Amino acid sequence: MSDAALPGETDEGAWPLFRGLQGHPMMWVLIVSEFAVFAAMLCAFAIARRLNPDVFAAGQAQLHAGLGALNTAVLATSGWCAARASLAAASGRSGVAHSWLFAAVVVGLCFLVVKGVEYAGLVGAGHGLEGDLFFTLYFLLTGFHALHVVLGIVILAVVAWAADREAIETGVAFWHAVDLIWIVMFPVVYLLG
Amino acid sequence: MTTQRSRTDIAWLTLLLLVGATALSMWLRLPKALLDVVVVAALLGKARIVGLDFLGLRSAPAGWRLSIGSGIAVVAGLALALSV
Repeated sequence: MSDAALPGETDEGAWPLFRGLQGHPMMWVLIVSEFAVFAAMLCAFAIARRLNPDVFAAGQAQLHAGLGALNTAVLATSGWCAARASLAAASGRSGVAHSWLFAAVVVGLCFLVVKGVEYAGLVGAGHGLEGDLFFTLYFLLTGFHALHVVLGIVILAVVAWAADREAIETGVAFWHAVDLIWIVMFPVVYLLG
Repeated sequence: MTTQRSRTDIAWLTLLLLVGATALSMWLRLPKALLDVVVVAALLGKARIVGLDFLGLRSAPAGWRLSIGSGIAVVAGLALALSV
């Protein structure tokens, strides 16, 4: 079986819908899927809050919005490092790109540390997945997002290890998607209501 | 490339300013209705910056910007409308 592209399957022609986007088209299939899943979860959270206003008001009052805001700044900073890595890769400076990716990974780990501190405080106060509806949804939503942060860090580390420009742009696109999801999730879960 | 780098740096600083402005609004204990509007406006501003300047949607076809942007606006609008 030859690896040569068949007619109509060149890089230019195979994915016309995804032309102009950073990274590999399959990553965008994943990103759109993730957006759809998180949008559904956040809408379910908003509807559940409307149906159980007292439970959600009491639960939200126990969250540490300051740590959430700190994590927003941390993730934005990590996204900035990743964006600089992508720009460096595009200009052929792979060494610089790897340094920026390393910085993005380190700052991304800081997000997980802050999230761990927040979880420890809530668990110490007796909250968990099997608590009331608010904390069940809170841990599901933020835990699912934290898993994506872990996956994003692994992807950034892999492309930082040894990868070409397209791989770096692909990994960075996923990281920005995780960043974008948090930017919507933080106000909906911590602030509105 | 330098212009893109400057745009990326400005986007990051703007994101930090928006996070700071949201925190300041909470600290000032604005009325709930006003605070919710500020929070959602900051959300949309941050999402626009991350989408256009970090995710690269600025150079993507308009359909992508419209789809992702309207999706975020719908989620934020629904959350605001259903906030108690």
